[in-house]
Amino acid sequence: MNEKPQTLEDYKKWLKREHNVEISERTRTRYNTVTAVIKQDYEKSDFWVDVVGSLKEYNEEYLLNRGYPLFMHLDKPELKIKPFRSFLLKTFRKNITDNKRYPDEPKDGWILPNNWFSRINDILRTMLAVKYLDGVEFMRQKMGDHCKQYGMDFEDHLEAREEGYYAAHFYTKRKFEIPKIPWDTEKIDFSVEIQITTQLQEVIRQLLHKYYEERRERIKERDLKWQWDYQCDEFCANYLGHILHYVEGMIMEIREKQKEEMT
Amino acid sequence: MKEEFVIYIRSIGITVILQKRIEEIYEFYEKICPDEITDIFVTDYIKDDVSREYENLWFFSKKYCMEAKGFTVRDEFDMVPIRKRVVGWDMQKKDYDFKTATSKSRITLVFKLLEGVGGTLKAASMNCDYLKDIFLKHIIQNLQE
Repeated sequence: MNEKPQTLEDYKKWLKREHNVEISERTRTRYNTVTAVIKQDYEKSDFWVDVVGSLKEYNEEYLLNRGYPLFMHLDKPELKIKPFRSFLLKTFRKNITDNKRYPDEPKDGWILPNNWFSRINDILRTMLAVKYLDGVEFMRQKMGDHCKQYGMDFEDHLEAREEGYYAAHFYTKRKFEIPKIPWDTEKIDFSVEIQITTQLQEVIRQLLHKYYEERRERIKERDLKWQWDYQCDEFCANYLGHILHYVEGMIMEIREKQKEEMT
Repeated sequence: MKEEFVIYIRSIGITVILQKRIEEIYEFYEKICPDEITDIFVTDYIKDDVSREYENLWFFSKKYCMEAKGFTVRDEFDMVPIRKRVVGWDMQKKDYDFKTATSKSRITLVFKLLEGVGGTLKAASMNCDYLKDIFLKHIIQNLQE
């Protein structure tokens, strides 16, 4: 029997049945241990220390060139570890719900404990919130320059989702030494996600965080598309994201026009 | 903190800074544990560059075992009764004769308690001797018949 798991509990049973993987307290503890080691390592790395130390400089560079500050504040960006439950849900989505080839493995293979730290790319993440829309591209380029300077692999793209989510996602890639289950260590490839978004998008993201979490756990899609269901949460939330993006584009246009008039 | 605890943590290479952190956690557990804390154990492993990493901090009393997970970087504490509640254990060891540890010795001990909870105790190098003592005193002695 190979019924498609519908809930996280079903998924845990499926992992046990199909891959002999038991999700237990030990799995969670190991996840917390490994991710804490990686976080500590990354925070102490020359690369990250330099990035944090350069934010003030970037702010001033942007201010001099464009006449506005890049950031609202210059607090140190906080590196956050994805909670184990969210992480497991993500493997559920990739292995099952978003896997168009199910019951066969996804295109790049199953995501299981032997590879999941390397395959999930946002376990450790942070966010840089800039004031204006063009600050996203500015920071994206700066992060790229930083990676090149430190010989670090990276990948980046601009996200524009149907659900009204807009941000640049920047992934730094390097090897980390983590404790193995019995003893000693192993070196794994690991990506750290740096989201670059605007302050306004960040505000709305915070407001809608709970809604997005709930949505991720929902397996069955609604019969009526959210774009037509004006009473559902998504309608308001998603369109607010799109409207904000449009407004931010307009702000940029006004800013540029003002600059032209002054010169 | 007890003198023997300090001797132990210094013997496995823990610095004064980390010792202070351990003392804070000890004081926390000392206040809440109904009986005397008799033993301490720090799980550790050796990295490729031969540096030592400390993972979890354990305390044991006659009736309870207490764990501060990832104690160097976070505050995550638990405490469970252990007396006659060990239902099984599993040990993997390498280069250890169960008498005297060498720099190559490694042990990983997994034990299970009633209701499915349990713990993992990992030791490298000389710390294996301490883990052996914990194993005999708190795991074997508390095996449920």
